[in-house]
Amino acid sequence: MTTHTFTPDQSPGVGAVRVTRPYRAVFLDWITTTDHKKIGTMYAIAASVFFLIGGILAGIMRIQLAIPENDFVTRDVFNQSFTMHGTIMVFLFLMPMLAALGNWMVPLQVGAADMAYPKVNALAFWMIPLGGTVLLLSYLMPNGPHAGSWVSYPPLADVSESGTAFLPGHGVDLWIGAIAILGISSTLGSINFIVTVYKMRAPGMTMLRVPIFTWTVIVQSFLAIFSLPVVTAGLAMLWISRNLGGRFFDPSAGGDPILYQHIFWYFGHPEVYILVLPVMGVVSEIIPVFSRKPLFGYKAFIFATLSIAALGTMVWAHHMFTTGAIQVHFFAFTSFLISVPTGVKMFNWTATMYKGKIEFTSAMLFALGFLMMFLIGGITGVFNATGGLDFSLHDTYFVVSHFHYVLVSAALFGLFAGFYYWFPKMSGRMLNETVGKVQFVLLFLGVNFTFLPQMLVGLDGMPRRIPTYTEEEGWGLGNLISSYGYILIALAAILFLLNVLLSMRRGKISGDNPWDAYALEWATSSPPPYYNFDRLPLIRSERPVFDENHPEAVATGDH
Amino acid sequence: MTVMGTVIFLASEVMFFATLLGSYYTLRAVNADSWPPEGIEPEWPLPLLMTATLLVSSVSIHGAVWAVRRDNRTVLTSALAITVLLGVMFMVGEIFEFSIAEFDFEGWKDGPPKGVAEGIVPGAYGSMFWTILAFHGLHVSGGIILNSYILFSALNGRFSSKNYQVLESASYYWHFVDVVWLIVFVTLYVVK
Repeated sequence: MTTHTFTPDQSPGVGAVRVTRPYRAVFLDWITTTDHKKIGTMYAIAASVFFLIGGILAGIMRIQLAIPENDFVTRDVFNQSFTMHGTIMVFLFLMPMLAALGNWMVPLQVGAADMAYPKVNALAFWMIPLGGTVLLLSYLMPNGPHAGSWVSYPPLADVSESGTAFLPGHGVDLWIGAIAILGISSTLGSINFIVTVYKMRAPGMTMLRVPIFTWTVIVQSFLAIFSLPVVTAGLAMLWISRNLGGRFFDPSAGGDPILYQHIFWYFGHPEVYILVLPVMGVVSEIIPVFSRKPLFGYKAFIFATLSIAALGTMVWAHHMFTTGAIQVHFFAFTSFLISVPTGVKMFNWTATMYKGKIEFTSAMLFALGFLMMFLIGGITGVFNATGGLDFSLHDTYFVVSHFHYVLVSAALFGLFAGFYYWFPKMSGRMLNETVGKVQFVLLFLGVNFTFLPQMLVGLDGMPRRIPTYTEEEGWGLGNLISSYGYILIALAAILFLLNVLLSMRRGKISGDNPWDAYALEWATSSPPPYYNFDRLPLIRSERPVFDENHPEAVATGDH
Repeated sequence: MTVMGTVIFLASEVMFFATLLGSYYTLRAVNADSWPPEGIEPEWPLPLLMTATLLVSSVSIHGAVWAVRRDNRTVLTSALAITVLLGVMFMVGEIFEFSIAEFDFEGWKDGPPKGVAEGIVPGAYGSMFWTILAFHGLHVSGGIILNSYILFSALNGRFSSKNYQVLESASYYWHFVDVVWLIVFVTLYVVK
């Protein structure tokens, strides 16, 4: 019989003896855990693995496009690469990575011991590697993976009138299965977040004292619940078309290909906000802390978040201007409207920094990087939303550049900011600040070197999704610079990985609240015990930890 | 807490069926003059009977909730048994519906049917009709399994007036399936 001795669940802090456990016990512990912190860590690990895969696919495309008339990969491989790159980055990197931060921080920020449904939480996580495996298995299929872009428009992704598939093999079918699995995982996670915040807040934590990051996760969750099932239904119809002879999208049998586009973008546009809103929340946690001021307009920020979510469900057809089958004026107008609440947030952040005592830590630098990149992304978005202009910009590299400024730079900057900010809470150790600053410079240069030239070649008319181009078209220089930029982004990502791996063991011990931050997660030890809180501070404002640590400021009303 | 999660989950289910029904009405508008296609007339007597079955089962599962609040085990288990039975009856009706209509399984053995075949499949109308019915049927089947599990738990004495969240959640799901069926019935057999 084996003897069981008590072993602490978390890695010990200062001065404690590191208890080693048999690998099997550690392994079983992780795969059976329902602890929101461990699940959050596993989300982060899974997302990082998929980020590397998606990044390699991006590298294939950048090598292929670096010089004119290149034959580094075949056209099929190129098509498969951009399809899988988009899918993996959206569904298997960004969404799980945001779920990682949400899992870690939402229960801590509202003062709960765990999520509302810990087992559902574990289920939602394990569906991520499952969905990813289903997706990657398509590389083993004859004809390879899905090559029809992540939007999978019929007729390309559908079958022809005579029943032959335009994209033969089962790449598209596996892709549909993977998206369905990942969508259900995300829906379950979203339900969990909403119920956790609604039912498990600490005493005194009213909804208008809930930290901004948690607020954005809630709004994101509602968006996910109302948009993911829509694409699941649409993809089910596509699957039935491909495999069971359905004719939803085939005009010759009474179907309508535009219907698919409506369904897809009814999900696809809120999806952008699903990816960006929590990042805005992360940035709104960081900027006040390192400006030494409360967030300017806490309630306005929440209202702006709700407005973005509400408007975000009314703009989907601005992806379909050139179909000629939609009301351009209406959708252009609603799309412009979104820039109002987004502008409110920009002013929230800048007004918070105004006359603040700004500390340029790595987290703050990345948050500022997010602000700048998101501004470029947002403004190019207004160009795309302009009905008339979009007819010439549609399906050019301008669009590619636009959404990469929003998603890749914004989400990447925002996520790095979040990890530099919260890593001490997660591990009890600081990430290396010098490496962080070097990494920030690399990423900032890399992102702009990569995506600014794409904007220019896009304006010059380079269509997206083309595998190569001729020298006479004059897009060579822009693409070459863009490919060099990719190297810088890759270096920044590798640097971050090394920083995390080394700091986990050797980083400076952080203490409970290294940043003198104010939200509730900083009230517990770093890393938190598995039950999260020994004691909770009095919650009498949205800054409970600050109130407790600085009673003098509270007394003078200077908080 | 289980109830709240269930309600949010059902909200996502609403969006799922809204997409299918919205697609139905979109394609109906696209094909205004041939919807349903000539010679196809969905027959409503059997579906009407199925509607009645499902409506009664909604009452019976509510009876189970009513009973568990009063710790009345006899009514609880019999009401659940009736619910399961009515659910099975509904599915028998639906399978019969699939078997009598011009639903061409034969042509599918060698992959998707070639060309726009005669009959209800594979035109847009037939595709929508059978997809909506099938997805609703899948949800009813899931509900039958869920209700059977609830019945099994009730027989083992799991529920009491202080602990019936799972039962209440199951009843919400079953009511949802019922309401969706009403909309499906009106859409497919009355509005057409």
